[in-house]
Amino acid sequence: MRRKRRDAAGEEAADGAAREVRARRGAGQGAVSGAPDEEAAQRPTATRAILGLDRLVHEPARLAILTVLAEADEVEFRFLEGVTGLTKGNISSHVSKLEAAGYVTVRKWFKGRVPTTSYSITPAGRAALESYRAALKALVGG
Amino acid sequence: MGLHRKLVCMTGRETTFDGDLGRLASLTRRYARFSVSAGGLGSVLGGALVIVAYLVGALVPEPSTGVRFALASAPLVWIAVKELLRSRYYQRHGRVEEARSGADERLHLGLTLFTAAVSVGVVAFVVARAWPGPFDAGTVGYLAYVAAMPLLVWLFMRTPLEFAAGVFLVAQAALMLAGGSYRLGEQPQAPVAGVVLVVLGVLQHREFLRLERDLRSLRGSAS
Repeated sequence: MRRKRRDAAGEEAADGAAREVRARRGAGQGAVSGAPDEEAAQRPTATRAILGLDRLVHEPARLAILTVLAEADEVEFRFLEGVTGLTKGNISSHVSKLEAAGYVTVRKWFKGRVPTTSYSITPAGRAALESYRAALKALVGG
Repeated sequence: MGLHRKLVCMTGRETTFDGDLGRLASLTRRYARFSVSAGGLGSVLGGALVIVAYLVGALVPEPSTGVRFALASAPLVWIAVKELLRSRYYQRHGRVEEARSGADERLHLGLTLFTAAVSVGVVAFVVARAWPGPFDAGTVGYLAYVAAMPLLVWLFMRTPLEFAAGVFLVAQAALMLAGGSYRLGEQPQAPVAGVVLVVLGVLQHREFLRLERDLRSLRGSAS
């Protein structure tokens, strides 16, 4: 009985998360490639909520990058590389996607004679990360 | 770090970011503090110099020329060493700029503007009094330090404690060049700020050593 009630509460929360993500997508904030609306409507609520997660943020490497960037004003490439354990190519590729979505800004500059790259999270990126966290929390019934 | 491991901890009904993500966030935040608000050994040096400058000014009636020049160069030595420590030691894994609150930024701007107003007043007063000159080397040095003070505050004294200690150090240096010094009982906040800066600096340095261990273990688990 209690399990049933918890499931119902979880579905309701997941539904809320899905609605929030859909609303964001509708507002042009998310870069999610989802299924057409009719197809999505036929899916169970929880599945729709999972599919509604912002996939740009959901990818583990990008989630790690955004998490690091959210804790500082600006982060140099070298620190990001060391702390995430990602390769240079991986970081560049993921950051390019985040930059294209407007979640991250890139600054290239010279430290003495050494070319350096630093990254900052944008307000849109911060909002996307917060929404993702909230959606995931709602999805598991927190 | 194992990005393919569980990045988000799901504990029962609650999703937390206490797993690898929480660890990443915490390490970044702790490391970023050493870009602005935590000076570590730089703070220890600054605090020690403030105490020495205060005691020499207060207890030595006629410091020798060598002592005067040593104390006059103290703020420049402090700033150079603390910035070198910051970039070459505390932020050697890459620069991470601390996210500061709007209140912190406004306070820093306010302190800089206050210093600028005082500096303009002092320079105008001294120049008007000594006009038309000639200005001796000591007075020129004094005016140079006072005029540079707002810039030094804006660039290098970004916390209230650094401001309290740094402004005293610069003012004492300017007075040393002009042949004077603060006497016992004047500027009583300076030695207090110096002691607090030393204690905080030691604590911050110990925190950095812990952070280094955590960063090493993170890299170890990544490989």
